Amino acid sequence: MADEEEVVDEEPEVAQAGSGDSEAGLSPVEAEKPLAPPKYEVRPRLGHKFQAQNVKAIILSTMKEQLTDRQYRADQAPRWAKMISNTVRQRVQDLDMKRYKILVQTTLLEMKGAGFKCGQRCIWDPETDYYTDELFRNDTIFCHTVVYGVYMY
Amino acid sequence: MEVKECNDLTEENQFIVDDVSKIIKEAIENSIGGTAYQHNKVNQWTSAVVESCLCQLTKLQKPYKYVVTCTIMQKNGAGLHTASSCFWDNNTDGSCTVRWENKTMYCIVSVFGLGI
Repeated sequence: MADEEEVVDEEPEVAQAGSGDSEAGLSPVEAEKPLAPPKYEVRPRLGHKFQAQNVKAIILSTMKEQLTDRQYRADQAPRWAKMISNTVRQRVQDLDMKRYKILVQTTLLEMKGAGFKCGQRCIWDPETDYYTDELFRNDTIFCHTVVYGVYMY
Repeated sequence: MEVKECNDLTEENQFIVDDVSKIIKEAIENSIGGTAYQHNKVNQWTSAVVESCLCQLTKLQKPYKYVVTCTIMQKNGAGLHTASSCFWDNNTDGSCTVRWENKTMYCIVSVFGLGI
């Protein structure tokens, strides 16, 4: 009699354990479905990289447009520098390189025989970030423009 | 579902012009303060100024990419003008330009900081 009771008690435990297993059995099945591949890009794809050659052409043509046949004038020079910067930036933006931040820096010098040295260093990701620069010279003006393209993750 | 706070406008994610300006001034003073323009040394000087700026900027430990440019010009009566135009996010990115001179030369340093 006592044995029968013990046997009876064990069965519900076995039944519960069985149902526990079946619940645990559901989640491994879900985890076996393959995960979707990551969609967020941390590198520009082929075709979406910084277009260095096009940007170089833009810089050179802008400087030539603005400065050919002009002589250095101290009152006009700041305006020319700003106009070149803004125009280059607008044209580079029109190239529509996705997720790139654009920096343009223009330096206009009067040619009077002074010595001049320009240097730069960057802390960035060399696989995604680039720069191009161009010079323009005539008798009295020396102009240097550099464009940086920095990728936004 | 947890709602995360927007981190974009905390101090850590903003370009603080005053700090950067101080760093640049120190870098210039330490590298070329008290020297006269010498054509054969100018290469070293621009490198020294830029390296020292970058070194201090990385010590700020902010999630930023930096571009530092340095221009040194002899005082000769010639005019020099610099302009820059940028396409970025105003909340996180910024720039700082410092103009320094002594009796024989001008030095212009620009730092651009771009948030990651």
